[in-house]
Amino acid sequence: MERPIALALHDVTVAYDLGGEVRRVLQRIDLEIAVGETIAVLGGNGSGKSTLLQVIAGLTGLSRGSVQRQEEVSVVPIVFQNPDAQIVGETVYEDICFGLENLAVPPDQMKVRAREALASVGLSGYEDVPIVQLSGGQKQLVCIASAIAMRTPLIVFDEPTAMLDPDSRSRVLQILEQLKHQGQTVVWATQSLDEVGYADRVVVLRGGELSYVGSPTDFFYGAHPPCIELGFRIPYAISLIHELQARGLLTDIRPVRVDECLEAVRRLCP
Amino acid sequence: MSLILRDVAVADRQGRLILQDVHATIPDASVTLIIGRNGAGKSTLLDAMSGLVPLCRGAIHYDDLSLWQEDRLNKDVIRSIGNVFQHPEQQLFAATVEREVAYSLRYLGLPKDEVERRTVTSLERMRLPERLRQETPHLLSGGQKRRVALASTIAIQPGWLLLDEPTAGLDADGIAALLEFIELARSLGGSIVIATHDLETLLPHADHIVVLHAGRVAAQIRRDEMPHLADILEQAGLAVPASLKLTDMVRRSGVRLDSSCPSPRELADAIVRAYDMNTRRDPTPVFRSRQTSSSEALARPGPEWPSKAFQPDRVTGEASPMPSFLVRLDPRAKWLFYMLLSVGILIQKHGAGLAAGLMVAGMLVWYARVPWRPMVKLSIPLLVLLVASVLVSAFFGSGSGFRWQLSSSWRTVFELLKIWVVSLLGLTLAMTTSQLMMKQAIERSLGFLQRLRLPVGAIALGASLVLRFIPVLAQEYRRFSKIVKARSKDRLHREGIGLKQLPPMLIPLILSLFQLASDLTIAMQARGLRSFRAARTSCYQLRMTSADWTVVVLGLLLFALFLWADVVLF
Repeated sequence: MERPIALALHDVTVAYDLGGEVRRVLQRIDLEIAVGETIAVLGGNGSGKSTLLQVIAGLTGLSRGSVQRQEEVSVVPIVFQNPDAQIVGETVYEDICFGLENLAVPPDQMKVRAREALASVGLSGYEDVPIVQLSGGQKQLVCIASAIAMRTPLIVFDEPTAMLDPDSRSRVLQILEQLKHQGQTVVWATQSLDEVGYADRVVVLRGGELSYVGSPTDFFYGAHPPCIELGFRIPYAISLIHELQARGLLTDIRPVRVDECLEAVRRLCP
Repeated sequence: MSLILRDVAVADRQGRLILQDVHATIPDASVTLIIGRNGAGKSTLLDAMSGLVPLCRGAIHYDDLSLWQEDRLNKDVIRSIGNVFQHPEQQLFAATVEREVAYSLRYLGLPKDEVERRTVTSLERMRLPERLRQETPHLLSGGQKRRVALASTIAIQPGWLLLDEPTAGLDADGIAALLEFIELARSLGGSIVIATHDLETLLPHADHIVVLHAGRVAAQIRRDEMPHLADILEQAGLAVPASLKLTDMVRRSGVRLDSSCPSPRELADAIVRAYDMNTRRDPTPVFRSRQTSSSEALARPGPEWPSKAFQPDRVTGEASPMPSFLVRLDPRAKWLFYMLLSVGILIQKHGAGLAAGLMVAGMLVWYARVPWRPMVKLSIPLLVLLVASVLVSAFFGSGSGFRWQLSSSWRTVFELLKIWVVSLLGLTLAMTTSQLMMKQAIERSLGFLQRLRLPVGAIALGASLVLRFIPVLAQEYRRFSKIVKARSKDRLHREGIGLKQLPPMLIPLILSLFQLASDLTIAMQARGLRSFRAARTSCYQLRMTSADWTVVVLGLLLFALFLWADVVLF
C-alpha cells in the first residue's frame, strides 16, 4: 500500500554567498518522506545535515528547487542535541506550553496535552518542576515531550542523543520506537550507526549531496555494504555478524539493530 | 611510578560532597578510563587530578610528588599535566594557529626557538599542513579546529594527559582523529586518563578502568581482569556495551578467548570453534533449521515497548519552597502591592517609620521563604556602599574639615537602608513570580502600546528569556574560565581569573553565547514562533481574582498607613 507523502524535496539547493565565494551547503536534493515513515539522516560535521533538517522544518530559504508539504506539515518541531539551547520555559509545564501557545491551542487543552506528553516520555507529574533542577537527560526528555505535545504530523530530531549518557540514550531510543509504533513521521539525524536500525530508511549526506538512500538492511549488508564503502565506523555487533557470515554462519539473516545481533549470536552460543 | 589518590574528598560550592573516600592508583604509560553515570563525579575527579578544585580531604601524588603542598599547588607537578576538555575546538581565541599553540606553552617560559620547534612538531603530529600556521583558527573547519586544540595540548609534552568526554558529539572522522591522538600520546610515553560514557569506542584502547558510583570508587579493573567487566558494570547499574555483552556471551558458552577485548574477527573465530564443537557433539544440525524459522521474527521485531519500566532519576532539591498563595497571585496585583509598599517606605523621614517598614518587609520576606543566598548576594554591594558612604559623609559631609558629622552620616545610612529594604522586596517579587507569568503580565498591561506598533510581545519574551539564560551564562562562564586556568596554569584552584586571562576566556565565551542565541532562535521558530502578530494563546490565564484585589487593597491600606504615620504621627 502506497502511503501518502508528507513532505517532498525537489532539486533543493541551498547556497550562501560568502563575499564573492559561493558555498553550496545542500546540492540538488530529492527526497520524499512518507506519512508514518522514520528516516535516519547520517552525516558528519559540515555535511549539510542541519541545513537539510531546517529545510524540512521550513526555516531556511532555498536557492533553488522546491519543497511540497501536506497542509498539516506547516509547523515541524525540531529536538536539538543541547537542551539548554532550546528550553524556553522556567518550569517543565511552561516549556511544553510555549509551542502550544504558538499553535494557538486553547488554554484548557494545554494541561491535558502536557500530561499526556510527559507520560509518554516517562516524566509524569513533573509539570511544576523547575528546569534547573533536572539532569541533562531529563531536560532532553522535556524537549521531546514539548515536541510531542504539539501533535504535529512530523517531528525532526537533530542528534538528540549526542550529549546523553548510555541510560538516557536508550530511554530516548525507546521513545523513538514508541513514536514509530504510533505512526508518527520522524526524521532522525545521528552520528551513531547503532541508531540507524530503528529507521525505515537511511539517508547519508556528504558534502551537501545525498550519497545513499535505502533501507538499513541494504545499508549494512550486501556484496559491498554502503556503510563500509562510505567509510563509516561500523558498530561492533554488526561487524561481528559480517565476520560470522564470511565464515558461513548466520548467512540467512541480516540484523540491523544491536539487540537483534545479540539475539542471533545467543542462538549460536547456547 | 603512578598517580595515587588517597582518601580524596571534594565538595561543591554549596559544601555538598561530590567525591569521597576516593582511593585509586593509576599506572603511568597507560590509558585509564573513568566511567560512571552522569553525576557520579567523573569530571570532578579529573578536575581534582588537575588541581582545578581544592580537596577537602586526602592527598594526590604524581609519582613521589604531592600535587598539593599545604594549600599551594606544586608547580613541577601541574606543569606536566595537559587537559583536553569537552569540545576543545570551542576554546580557540588567538589571531593565528601559531599563537594559539604558543599560548598553551607560555607558562613553561621556553626560549623562542623552542616554542617555534614545538609548535611545528605538534601541528605536524596532528597532521595540520604547514600553511595553516598563519591562518585564523576561526576560519578553519570544525575538524581542523579540534586538531589545533589537541596540538596545543601535546605541544606542552604533558606526562599526564587528562581528557573529559572526548568522543561526545564527534563524527566518524573526529573519532578516528581522537583515537590517533590517544595512540600518539601513548607512543610518546604519556599517561592518559579519560572520563567517558563511550566504552564501545574507547574500551579497546584501555589498560585500566576506574568505576565511579555516587562519588566513590566502586571498582578498579586491570586489563587482565577485563573478563569480569560486564558483571561489574551490571552491578554498578551501568549500561554494558554490545561488544562486552557479545564477548561475555561467547565466553560463558565455554569458549576460551585469548584476548580480553577481542576484535570482531577474533570473536568470530572463537564462535566458529564453539559452533563446530557443538555440531560435532550433536550430529543433527538442529541449529540451522531453528535459525531459519526464527529469522522472520528477527527481521521484524515485535513491539518491545515498554521493555523496562523507566524510573526517572530523583529530582534533586525540593519542588518549590515558595508558598503557593504568593506564586499563584496575579503578577499585576503583586506589582501594585510592591510599588505601594515601596513608595510608602521610601517617603519615611523618621526612624520609627523606617523601623515599621523594615518590620513589614521582614515579615513578607520571611513569609515568602526567600532563600538567604540571593539575599546575601544582593545585600553585600549595598552594605559596602553603605559603609563607604558613611565614611565619606562622616569626614567630608559638612565641608568644614575632618569633623565627625553624625547627622550627615546618619542621613546616608537612613537612605541606603530604605533602598536595601525596597530591593529585598523586589527580590521577593521576582522569586515568587515565574518569568512566563511576568511576561504575560507585561504583555497584558502594555497591550495598549501594541496599537502604537510597539513590539510588546517581542520585548516581553526577550525579557523573560534573559532571565532564563542567567544560569546558562553562569555555567558557560565557569566552563571557559576553567579551560583558561588549565591552559595558563594560573590561579588554578581559586575562584575568578586574572586580568591577563580575560581575552582567552572572553572570546570563546562570547562566540559560544552567540551560538547559543542563534540555536535558540532556530529552536523557537521550529516550535511555531513565526510572528508576534499571529494569534497566540497563553498557558496562564491572568485574571484578577478576589485574592488579587485583596492584596491590592492591602497595599493601598499599608501605603495610607505609612503616609499618615510619616505626616501626622511623627
